[in-house]
Amino acid sequence: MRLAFVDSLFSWPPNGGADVDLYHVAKELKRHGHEVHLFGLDEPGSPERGLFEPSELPFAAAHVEISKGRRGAEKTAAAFYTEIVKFAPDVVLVCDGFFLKPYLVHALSEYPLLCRFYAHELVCHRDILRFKDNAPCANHYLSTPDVCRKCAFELLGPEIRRGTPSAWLREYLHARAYAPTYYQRQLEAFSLIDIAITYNEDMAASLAPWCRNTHVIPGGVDLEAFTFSRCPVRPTQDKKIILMAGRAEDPAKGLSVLLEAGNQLAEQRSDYIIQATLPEDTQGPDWFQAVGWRSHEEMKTLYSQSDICVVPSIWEEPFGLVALEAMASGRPVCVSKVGGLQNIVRHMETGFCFKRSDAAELAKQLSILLDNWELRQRMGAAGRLRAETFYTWESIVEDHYQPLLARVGNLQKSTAN
Amino acid sequence: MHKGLQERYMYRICVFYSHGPHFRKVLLSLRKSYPESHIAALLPPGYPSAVIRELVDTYEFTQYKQYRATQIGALLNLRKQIRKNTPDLFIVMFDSNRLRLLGSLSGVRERYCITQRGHWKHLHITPVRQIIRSTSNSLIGFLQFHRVRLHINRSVKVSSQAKKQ
Repeated sequence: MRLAFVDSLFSWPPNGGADVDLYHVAKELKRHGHEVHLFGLDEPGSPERGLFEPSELPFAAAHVEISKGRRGAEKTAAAFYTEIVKFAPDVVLVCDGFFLKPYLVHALSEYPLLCRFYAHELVCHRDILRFKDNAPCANHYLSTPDVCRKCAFELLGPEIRRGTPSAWLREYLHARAYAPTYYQRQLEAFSLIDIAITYNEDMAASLAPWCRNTHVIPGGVDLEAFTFSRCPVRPTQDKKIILMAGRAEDPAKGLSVLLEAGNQLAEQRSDYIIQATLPEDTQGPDWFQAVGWRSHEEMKTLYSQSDICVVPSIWEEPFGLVALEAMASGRPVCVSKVGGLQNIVRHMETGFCFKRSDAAELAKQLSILLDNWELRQRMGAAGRLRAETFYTWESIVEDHYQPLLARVGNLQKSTAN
Repeated sequence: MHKGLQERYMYRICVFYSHGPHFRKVLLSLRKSYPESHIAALLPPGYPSAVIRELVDTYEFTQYKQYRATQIGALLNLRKQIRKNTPDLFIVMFDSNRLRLLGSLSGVRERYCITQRGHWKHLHITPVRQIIRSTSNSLIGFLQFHRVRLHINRSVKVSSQAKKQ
């Protein structure tokens, strides 16, 4: 099959989990004999997207150039269409993007369309998180458009006024996402998608009333990159490392919960240090250390030096790639029971799950793990085994994408007949 | 390295810290590219200088964790701190109006932004052009803000009327 991947945010080295997901899925599909071509966006001067060198990717890729005068959403979608038509794909996979997605779906609707939702994009216009006032938000753009429009404007208004918008805001303005016509366009776009792919059941359920078919496909992990190592055996005087990786500066990621748990631990013991991937100048208690922002490459070392990993997210984390990377590296993981995280980690087997925002429960679990090297080792090994069994990119593509593409092929044939 | 710069030249470089993931990486690459050059870093208060000490010849703390382009006093103080090092290369981490303005005020001949991906971007612009650009951005932003607000208020009004009916 000829597969066109369309992603208006893709960068490599990756900026986040969505880039990693696309890279490995496209690479594996190519290995399965498909002809894969990625179409990314080239926005001159933007530090947020399109930062990849096509020749360095293991599959064909090209930038769709958008000059300064052509940044309207329709024009951008038309530019993608012009390039994609030349490739003549059998299936188009619309991957990461913000408010451009409905325009892309409309422009490419003559092809069978798979649309990947990496977070709560389009369902929340404020950001991709569906998270407000330190709690998950119950509103949904398609159910409560007015409420969501107002909420987004509360946050984005000051940035619009400054006149130096980020990529998110540029798309918001170019797509006229604030206008009621956008709502109609989005509804139509959702009905045009053949299959909407999400990371977990809750996300699929939130899209189900508007999309014809939804399908859950988890993410995977590169086991060759994140190699297994035994938990460090440390002399008694050495401090054990509890690591929080990922965008720790984002309040939705729950660093505050981990720090509260750290405070509670500090009343009983001092044999640990909490590390977080935050800028080096971040201040904190004695037992806290900001290790700086690290590249995807550097994270491997950080995992191997740690003893325990924590993912204390407060928002409905769609998947939780960092938890999986930690498991693949052989570390026990404590995660909050939210979104896709609770599916990745098996409670008491590969780590612990705790109630969202429950610092006391997390402190207890950390204490148990800090006291017991054998338990850390056993859970770490079980985590690696789980990653090997269910979350390799080979198995994700083999078990999910291949049958899905066959299904789309059948759909195509039946429509033609 | 930017093509306009000479390889292995002994520059006097001033690197201005911005809250970003690549500050240390930039210092590392500068030290590698220009081992003989004098590198000075301007850091925000509280920055743990230990993490960059071996990469720079001097470092100095500014008074500001954050400042705005309209804070003339802050800009002049920073300008003074930059000029004290008599640099011939001024480097920032992001391309923003504020940093462009600071760069042009500093009077340093060569001004660059090094992006997260290690690309060098020339920041040459005169202060007058910079002020014009900032003003036009603000004006466009102001108009867009009111346009969006109008749309949102109108749609809320329409749907509340529909609900009443």
